[in-house]
Order: sequence, then structure tokens, then C-alpha cells
Amino acid sequence: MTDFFQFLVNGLVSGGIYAIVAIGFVTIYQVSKVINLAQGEFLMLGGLIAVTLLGTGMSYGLAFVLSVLMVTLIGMLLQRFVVRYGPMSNQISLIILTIGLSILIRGVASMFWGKDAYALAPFTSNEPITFSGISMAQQSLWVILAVLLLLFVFWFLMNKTLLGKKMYACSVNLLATRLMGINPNKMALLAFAMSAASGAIAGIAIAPLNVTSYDVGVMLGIKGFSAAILGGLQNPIGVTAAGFLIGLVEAFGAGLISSGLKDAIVFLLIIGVLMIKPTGLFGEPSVGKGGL
Amino acid sequence: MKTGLRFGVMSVLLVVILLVSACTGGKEVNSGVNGSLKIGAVFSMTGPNSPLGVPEKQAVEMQVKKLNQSGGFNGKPIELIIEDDKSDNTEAVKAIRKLHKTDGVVAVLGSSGSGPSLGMVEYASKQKLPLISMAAADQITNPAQSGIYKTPHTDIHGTKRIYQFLKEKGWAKVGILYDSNTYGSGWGKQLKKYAPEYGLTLVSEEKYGTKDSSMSTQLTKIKSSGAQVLIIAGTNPAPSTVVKEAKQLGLTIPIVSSHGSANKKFLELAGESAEGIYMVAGKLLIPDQLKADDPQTPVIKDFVTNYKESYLVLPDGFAGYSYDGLNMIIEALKSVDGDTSKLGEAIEKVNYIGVTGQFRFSKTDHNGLKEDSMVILQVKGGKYQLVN
Repeated sequence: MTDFFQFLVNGLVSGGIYAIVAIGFVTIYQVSKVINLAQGEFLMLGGLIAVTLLGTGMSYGLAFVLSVLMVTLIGMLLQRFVVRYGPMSNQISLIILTIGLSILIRGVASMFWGKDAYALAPFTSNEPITFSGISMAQQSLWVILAVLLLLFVFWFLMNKTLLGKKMYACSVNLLATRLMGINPNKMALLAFAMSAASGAIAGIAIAPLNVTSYDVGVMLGIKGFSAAILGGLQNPIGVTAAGFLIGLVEAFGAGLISSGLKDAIVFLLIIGVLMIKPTGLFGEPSVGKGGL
Repeated sequence: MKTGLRFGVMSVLLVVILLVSACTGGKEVNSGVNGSLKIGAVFSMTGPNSPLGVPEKQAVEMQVKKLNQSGGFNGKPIELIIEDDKSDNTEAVKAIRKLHKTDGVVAVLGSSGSGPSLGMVEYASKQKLPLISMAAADQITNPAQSGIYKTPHTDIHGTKRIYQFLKEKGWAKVGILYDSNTYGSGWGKQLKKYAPEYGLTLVSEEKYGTKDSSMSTQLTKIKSSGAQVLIIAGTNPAPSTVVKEAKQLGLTIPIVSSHGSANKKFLELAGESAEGIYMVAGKLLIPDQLKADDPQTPVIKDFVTNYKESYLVLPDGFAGYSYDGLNMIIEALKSVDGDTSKLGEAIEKVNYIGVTGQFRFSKTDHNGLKEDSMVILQVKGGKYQLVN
């Protein structure tokens, strides 16, 4: 029974990591109908910049804030100077453009930080939290906290503020949005900024759990993307739920069936769901101006 | 019209790609000094295997310089021609062909990774070109082919050495956790194969993916399996994540890690979680703690001093692999008075004490090492300490 709860805790922590990446995907998708496949690189940059800043003897809090700001700026620059000039009418080309960007960012990062992995100290003590035989790292708690916080902020922004409505309007009807006096470029810029910031926060929060290196974004990107697709790419809450689901299936699959098969089990589930419900678990049939 | 334009762009791109690849194929040819002894080397200096290839290259460059300062080989300067295989199998075969056909080398060292090495083995054995590989895979020298050798310890040596240690400690119930890549699965196979021979029982067997962000579920299963010791087989950084998570999960059994993670990086990544972790490794990692009566001690000390002088860092195991390979080629050439046609067979008879271990080849064993050339270390106070 202890094992069962331990798997549950492990699954929730991994799921939280996937959810936090998925939220980034959805934010950009909702506004510009672009799947930003460079999302994983924001996590990588967040973690590695934090490692470097901490290396200069800066305090943890300051390093955290500065890294998030720097990654946000990088995200905005990418939108302003690259994605904005991409082929606006063609989402597929834009997605391929983001793949190119992710390879570029990874290449530059591998030149700057090398191919070695780096360790980042946990936010608080390294002592595990133990409760009747079930243990978890204090850092895991921070990860889950970060997911919930980001989720709340994004949900509030998108559903309860005028700014959120403006952003959402861009994805529904670009022309009508323009006619209403909303600048879609500004909204897309904001979406990239938000998604880069959330990626950086996630990257710093999860780095202490294992290690971080120039290529850490690839796997996280794939898992986060899977969560975003499984959740239906529509709202942050749906993809968060899907992220946790993937984490739990992984943990129980590895725990109860076989650790060698855990990825196969997850992706079988995703394929199965998408065959039955192509819009994802929480997605509605697309009524907007297309997209994927 | 649009399709026509696209087609045009595509064909231009294709031509450019072809041109570029053709150009890299015909890299500049090292004009050999007349009468020099040419030895070729293929290392992975770029790409994922570059952490292996770079120290390997540095070690042989250092040794060739030293040999040439003391007169080279039989008065002839040694010329080392190094190629980069970019961690790619095809590039490695191209490189060895170039070294053989264009440069006319007498023997080749390399490559760093198992995949590229296996490609080179096929070429070298067909062309009767002596080859010493720096890669881990057992298939390189199993079955043993004439003229093909390798210097690193294999997973069999590591497995036997760890099991010997477990037996001494009386830890009979073993949990194993290994990477599902070539390196880890090789270990998995050997760990399963040799456990009965040492009277050990594998109570739990788990795998992980090289890029997995968490292995805590596998560790949970091992924790409740009743294992008395955990063996991890993988290359960095995953083993450092495993020991971090083991601590967070309250897994208190001793952990032994394979030589794939035995370096400074592991200590740096795992931090305080590394304390108490056991590791099987070559002796090169602890030059200061070696026994004085060990025949390897002076060889290792000499190598470490020279390497540190040249590159300001301590050498790791990879540097030792290529260093030993080069020295064995020179030794073998000495034994046949520089008759390069007999070099392939001559290496088999060389009796060489290297930094990796004591090499004693036989007709069926072209790795030549024994498990006693590995040691068990433990991390204490952020440093590797010799245990036995």
C-alpha cells in the first residue's frame, strides 16, 4: 500500500512537470494558433541561466527573477523578430519555423554552456519530507506549487480580464479583432512573453530534481506537447489535468507493469484517446479560424 | 508557377548540400614528413561522444610529442594523423579509409564510441589494417579477429568486480537499475548472467530511459523489493539523478555505480547525495591512493603528471584508453623491429602495463584486461576514496 501511494506521489510530481510545459504550449496556441515547438528550450534556458547567475555569487531569489526576465526577453525577441515575419497564413510553416528556432537555441546553448550537465541547488533544504513511509523531495512540493500558481494566473488572465479576452479574440477571428482596434501582433508578443516566463519558472523549479543541460528541453518538450494534445489544446486547466494524467500513468505503468515499457504505455493511451476523441480529452471541435 | 519555384529552390539546395558534403569528404591531406612513421587516429571530437574523444586526442598528442622529443621510433619521427568522426558511424569509416588509402598509416586508433568503432573494425579486418579501439562494446573484440584490439574495461570486468565486492560484504540480494541504451543494456545482460556464479540473487530489475527526468518509481519498487544493495549502470548525468532521488525517497541501502559515471562530473552533479556511493572504476581516478607495490602505480603517476602539466587538468579514463593503445602499437613495432606487416599479430604478444590495466592478449582475448585492474571506490567528503 505504501508503494501505491509512493507511485501516486511520484506520478503527481512528474505530471506537474509535464503540465507546466503544456501550459506554455496552450498559451501561445490560444492566441496565435501556433504550436511553439521551442517551448522546451525556454525551460532549458531558464535552468541554465539560473545556474550561471548563481555561479557569480548572486542570491537565489535575484538569480531566479533575473533568469525569468532574461528568458522572457528572449521569448519576446523571438516573436518580434522571427515568428512575426514568418508566413502568417500558414500555420504548418510557422510550426516548422519554431522547430528551426528550437534547434538554433539548442545549438547556441551548447556552444555557450557546453554539452555537460549542470546541477542546481534546491530552493529549500535537501532533506526529504517523509510521511508514514512515503517520501518526496521538498523541491517536488515547489514544482507542484509552481504549477498551481501558474495555472491560476493564466486561467485568471485568460478568463477574467479584458486583456485575456483580447488575446483569445485574436485566435477566433483575426480580421474582426483588428477591426475592433486590437493589435494582434501585440497580443502574440504578450503570449510569447507569458509562455517564455512560465517555461523559465518551470525550468528553474525542476532543475534541482535531476540535472539540467543544453538538450534537456527536447524530452520535456515532447512530454509537455503530449500533455497539451491529450488535454485538447484549449484551456490551461484541461492540459494541466492531462499532464497529471500522463505523469500518473507513467508512474503506475512503470511501477505495476514494467519500467522498460512506461513510455509505450503512455503513448498507447494518447493514441487511443485521440482515435476515439480527436480533439483531446477536454477539447471542443474547432470553430475558430482553423489551426490544427 | 509556385510549384516550379519550389522545385527550383529545392534542387538548388540539393546541389549545395551535395557540394558541401563532397568538400568535407576531401579534407586537406597531411603531407607526411619523409621517412616518418605514420599512425592514424579517429576520435569523436565533436558530437555527443566529444567528452570521450577530446581527452583521447589530447593524451595521444601529448605522448607522440614526448616520444618524438626522445628520438621518435628507431630514429624516425612519429607522425600522428587525427581525424574527427563527428560521433557518426559513416564518418568513422570514411576517416579510416582516408587514413589507410591516402595517408598510408601503419595502424589506427579509434574510435571513441561503439557504433563508429564497429564500422571501422569491419574495414580494418578486411584490409588487414591493425586497429585498437577505445570503445566499450564487447562485440568489437568478441569474437577476436586478427589485428583488432580494444583497451577499455568491459561491462564483464565491471560486473565481476562489483560482484566480488558484494560477496565480500555479504550483500546477497541485489537490485539493478540500468539505462535502456546500448551501454546500460550491456551491463544488464552481464549482471544477470554472472549473478548465480557469485551466489547472488537479483530481486529487482528496473530500466530507465537516458533522458528520463525521474527514476523515482523504479527506486520505489527496488526499495520494497528487499534488495540489500542497488547497482546502477548508466552514463552521466542519469546516475547522479538516481542517487539524488534515492536520498529523497529514503532509500538507505548501499548503491554501487558503474564506471560509466566514474568521474568528477558525477560528484559535481550529485553533490551531497553522492556521499557514501560506491563506484567501480579504473585506477586512474585515484592516482594518489594506489598501493606502492602495484606495477601500474608508476605508469599511472607518470601519465597523470605529464597530462596535468600539458593540459592543467587531471586525465580521466578515456585519456588512458588512447594512451595505452598508442603505447601498445609502439611496443609491438619495437618487438618486430619496425616491420609493419607483422604489426597486427605482434600486438597480441605485447605484454604491456598500462594506465587502464595490465594487458595480456591471447588468441581468443583481444581486450587483454582482467577484473582486478578495476577498483571499488567510495565517495567520502566529496572525493573518491579507495575501498578495495
